Amino acid sequence: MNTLQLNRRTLLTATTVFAAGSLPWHHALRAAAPQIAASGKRCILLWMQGGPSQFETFDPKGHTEGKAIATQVAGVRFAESLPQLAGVSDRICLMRSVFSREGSHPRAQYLMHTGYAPMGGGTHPEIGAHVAWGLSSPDSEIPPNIRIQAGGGRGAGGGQGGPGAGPLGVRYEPLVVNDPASPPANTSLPVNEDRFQRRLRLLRANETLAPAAINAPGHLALVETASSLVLSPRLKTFDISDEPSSQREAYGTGKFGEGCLLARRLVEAGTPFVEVVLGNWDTHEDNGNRTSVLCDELDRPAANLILDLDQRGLLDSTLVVWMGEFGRSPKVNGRGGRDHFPRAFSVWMAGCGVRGGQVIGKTSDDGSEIIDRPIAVNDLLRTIYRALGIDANRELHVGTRPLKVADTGTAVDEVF
Amino acid sequence: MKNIYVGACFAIFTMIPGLARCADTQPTATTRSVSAVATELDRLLGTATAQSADNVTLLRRMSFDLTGRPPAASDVRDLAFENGPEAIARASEQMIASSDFADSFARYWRNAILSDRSSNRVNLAAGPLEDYVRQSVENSVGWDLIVRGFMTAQGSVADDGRTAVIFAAEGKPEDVAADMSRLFLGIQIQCAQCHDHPTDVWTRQQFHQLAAYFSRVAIRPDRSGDRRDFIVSVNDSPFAPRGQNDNRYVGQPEHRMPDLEHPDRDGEVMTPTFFVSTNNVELGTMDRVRRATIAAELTSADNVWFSRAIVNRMWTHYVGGGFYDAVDGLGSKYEAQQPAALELLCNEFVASGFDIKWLASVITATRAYRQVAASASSDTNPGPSVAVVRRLSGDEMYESLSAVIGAQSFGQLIGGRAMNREPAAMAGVGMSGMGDSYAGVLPRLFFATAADLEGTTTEASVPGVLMLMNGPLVSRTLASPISLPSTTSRRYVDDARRVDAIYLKTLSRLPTPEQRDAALESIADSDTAVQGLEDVMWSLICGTEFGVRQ
Repeated sequence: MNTLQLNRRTLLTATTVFAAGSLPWHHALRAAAPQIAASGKRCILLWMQGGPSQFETFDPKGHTEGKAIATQVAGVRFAESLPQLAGVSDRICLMRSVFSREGSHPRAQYLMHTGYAPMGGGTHPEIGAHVAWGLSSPDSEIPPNIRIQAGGGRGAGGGQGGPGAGPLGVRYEPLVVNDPASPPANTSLPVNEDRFQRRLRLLRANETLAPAAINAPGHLALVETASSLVLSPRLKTFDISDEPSSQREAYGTGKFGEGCLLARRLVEAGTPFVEVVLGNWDTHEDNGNRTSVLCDELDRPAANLILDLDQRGLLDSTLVVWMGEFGRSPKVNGRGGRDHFPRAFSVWMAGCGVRGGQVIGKTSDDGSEIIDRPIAVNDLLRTIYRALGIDANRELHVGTRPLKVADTGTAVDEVF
Repeated sequence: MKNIYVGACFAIFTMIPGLARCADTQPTATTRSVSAVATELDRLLGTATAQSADNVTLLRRMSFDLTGRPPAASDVRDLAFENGPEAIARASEQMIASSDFADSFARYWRNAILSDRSSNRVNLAAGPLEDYVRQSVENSVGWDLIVRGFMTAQGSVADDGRTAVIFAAEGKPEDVAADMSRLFLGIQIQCAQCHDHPTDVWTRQQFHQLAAYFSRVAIRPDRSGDRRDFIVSVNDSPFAPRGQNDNRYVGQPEHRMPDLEHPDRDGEVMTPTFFVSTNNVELGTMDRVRRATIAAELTSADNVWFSRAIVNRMWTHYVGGGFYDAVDGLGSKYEAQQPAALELLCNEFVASGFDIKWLASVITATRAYRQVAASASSDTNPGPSVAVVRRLSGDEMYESLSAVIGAQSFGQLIGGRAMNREPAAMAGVGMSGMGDSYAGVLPRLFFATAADLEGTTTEASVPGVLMLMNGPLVSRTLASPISLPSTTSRRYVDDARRVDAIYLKTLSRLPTPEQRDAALESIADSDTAVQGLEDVMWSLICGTEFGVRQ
């Protein structure tokens, strides 16, 4: 079968709602269409911007500031500022031996989100874009890739998460929610609904009455999509004030808590990928205190997210991933801080078939080296894609160049 | 300023023995006139008898392509009284001679060089980069010399736009080599960084030999002044500390190709060698000579890829279809469509002294360019003989909105124009990546990647459309008293004339009678005439035609 024809037809199906016109020819993706949307699998990425210290979180050592506490899993200890997460550790698969070579924030953020080192001339799609591409359903009014900025400040090291959808196209770009307690940008009508409808009627009439066909299909469909989103009752999904106060309290009132609650609402409504960003982990000064404050922001919402998903029967189909761009140095610097350390750091996952209550990989007593089961970034990403049922070997053709979802690596079997 | 750049280029090149010929690429008389070359191109492309677009459409098309903004309403009115190709030829000549041409060409290269970078600090280079390219084009500096400036730069990023490419590549030899090849030869040699090129003939060794020309260069932060700045620094000393965490502040005497089997070892020392000519310089050569040599080799008239890359790039940008499938899809294994036309245009471009204005004149004089544009919905490259509708770039959208109420008022509305000064908050959007400025945000809203700036796309995004429909930018534009034709002034006798004025401002044309009637009906339906006029303008700004150049 002609792959281009297949592509055209499947694109037509996929674009009935997100009809942004067809892809530009040099970005034509000669790949099979989303086949697995029906799986109902979802992913929430808890992204710790700035690079959290593994020592004051999930890999405490003798030199860690503060005490370590026991968890639900025998012999596994977390930092004392994570009591709630320690309480759900039986659902968590912790990897203490992730490594990379990228020690600069933007490059490492790019790598962790894409599996590729940044390279001029093109963007590799981020995890969220691949997941949205693979798992979104064409009839949803809510965009399939959502990024929630949820506190901690954004200053840490520049960048704001992943690089977007690249050649997968704007349909899979993250829709950024700057404040989880407010609707996404530009979704409130600047005029009353009657007048908005009148404007739309005139716009449609102009298009029909244009003197010659404008050879740029798709724009009107995009206007219809955008207006159906702003007029849709499903826009209420973004409104966490709908939640009962018991839920609000369970997640906590901080921005990260609100972000996790919104993420749960979105996956419940069928959104395939939500990233919740907690920033400010770049603790070059005063690492102990600052990490402890951030753990307070993180602990209850993240733990409650796992419990809430479980109670709603969503944890089996929702993968929760916790990670940042790298870890922090075993050595404490002169300002009481820890510096960047990509050589060994911790990441955890829960849900979606992941076997909880286990730790994979081990670092040396001082945390400077991996002594068991090193996990490369692409091993990690392949594990995520396997959990979600996405073929990491799928090749996109960007112009004439083949591009794999994940170029190298092997999924970590023990996770499942 | 111009003399500094040009003087520096000449100073370097005339000092290197054997390269004097390359320094002598001042514009020379071409053998054939612009119209003769255009006619020959149309003959080769089979476009000589293609149906020409009408003058009003062409004026808008050329205005975006050559000046980066829509035509003034008065120019559209004037043209309405004159048919035939002479008026268009005159308009094209004026546009290419204007400073707007150099400005829009500079913005194009700002986007091509700085977009899609992982760090938003590259924005520091935006202003200086634009200044450098704009001044060079205004002063008719050839493309070869402009590129040599990029390749041989050193010093302050904030003061000297020639540093932009090396700065954007973070001064890392591999990334600098990859970008120089990709941007200026159209060849993605970096695919050979870790293994031999999967789809072309280049080897991993050849890639690292190119990187070796840039081994002595590095970027370091400059904290001496009170502003944020970086320095493209050169180290010719044999002593160079290795950086930590891949941060590299000092250049190394020689480049080493990493040992993939043993990443902890130093790797093999590479002799700087150019993969096209296979010429090399000896190990130990000073940075100044090493980079001047590769700059001269890469931009030489003998290097076919150098002229093919810029000719294909500008052709694709102006016409729509390309000789190659992508602006960086050149290489020995990729065949060009219509190779005879490509060769002709390349040869004449070289003979013109790599003159960018000449290239723009020839391309926009062809019938291939002036023909009725085809739909942008094809998913294969339609080839160089097909003109394609192009969605406006972020910069062009910016200029279009600005034109609705006049640049000065628009500047006041959003507070300044330069790339670093406009917060994304004004657009009411937060986007990922480098988008903290208008020029950064708008392309991200309307395009998937910077690569789309060089091709044709119909893609917009839901956040982009929401920004137009509901965002503060358009709302404030509509609410500004200057945007709308006055309902009290005697200049407009009735609402029909006001509707005409709105169409001219937004779409550079008058409405059809049916469109005028629809607008009048909507106005009659509104609470007030002002609201009605606002809604008419809204419906045009949010419609298809406003966002494309046909």
